[in-house]
Amino acid sequence: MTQKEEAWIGLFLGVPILVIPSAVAVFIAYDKGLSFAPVLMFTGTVIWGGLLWLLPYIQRQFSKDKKKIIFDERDRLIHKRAVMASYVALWIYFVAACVITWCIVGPNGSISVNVMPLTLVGGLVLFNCVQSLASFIQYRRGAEDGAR
Amino acid sequence: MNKTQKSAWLNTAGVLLVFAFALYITIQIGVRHRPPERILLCIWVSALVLVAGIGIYFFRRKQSPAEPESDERDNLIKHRAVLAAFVSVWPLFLTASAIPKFIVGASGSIPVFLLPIVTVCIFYFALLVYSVAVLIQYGRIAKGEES
Repeated sequence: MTQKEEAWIGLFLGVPILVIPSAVAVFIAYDKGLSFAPVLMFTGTVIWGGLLWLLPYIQRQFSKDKKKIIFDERDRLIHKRAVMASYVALWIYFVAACVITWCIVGPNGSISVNVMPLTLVGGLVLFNCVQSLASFIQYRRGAEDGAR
Repeated sequence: MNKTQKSAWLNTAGVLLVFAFALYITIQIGVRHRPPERILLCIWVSALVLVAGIGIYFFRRKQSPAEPESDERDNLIKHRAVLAAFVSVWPLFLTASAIPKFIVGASGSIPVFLLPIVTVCIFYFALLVYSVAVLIQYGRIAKGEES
């Protein structure tokens, strides 16, 4: 599985598999309070998400052509830049979340404690999307340069 | 000591000073319900200016004219330190979103001014992790060279 395929999987499988159950768990906790069901859902999602990250390694183990190079220097550089871009986007998102909340409820207002986990789930979605998109853009640029 | 190490020491000193001041302000206003004392504020500002001044002086001064700005090893160390700081951000945000729930309850609320404070604290903590990771890696390499 190449880096590009991993990025596609991250964008189209990672978002529904990780984010939807996490968001549902947080909404249940927000609506009905913290109970066993949302905690179990969140834990299950974390475990499932961890297994999803192991998928490329498992695929490599069972691959017939083990000598085929699927992650070279260029992929490493693209991955590094994509993680950096998502890291910067994450900080901008958290600062924006503070400012927007401040603007909505005013300086003397208060927010529910359940908003914070929701913000965190939003950060997870953003991180995943930005990382995948940054990888695509860089691969596309590389392909365009190669075509010239 | 090269520029990366110097900036890591400067960051560590600066962040620890900020954390010490934040702790003092929290205790003074939150627990004692008194405004912060002027003399301590003056000492803190002087310490911050002193650290910044000494840091800038040593940062600009080279050990030898042949000292490079940064090499491959420095870049690798910085890259690993950024990774460590990045990894530390997630558990910190997770902890920050869980702690208010235990303090005020699941149906409670927190003042909105706490959000930027939490974000800034986590940013400073990530900076501290980055600096400590840089210093630890240089320490390990120095030990390896000795042995």
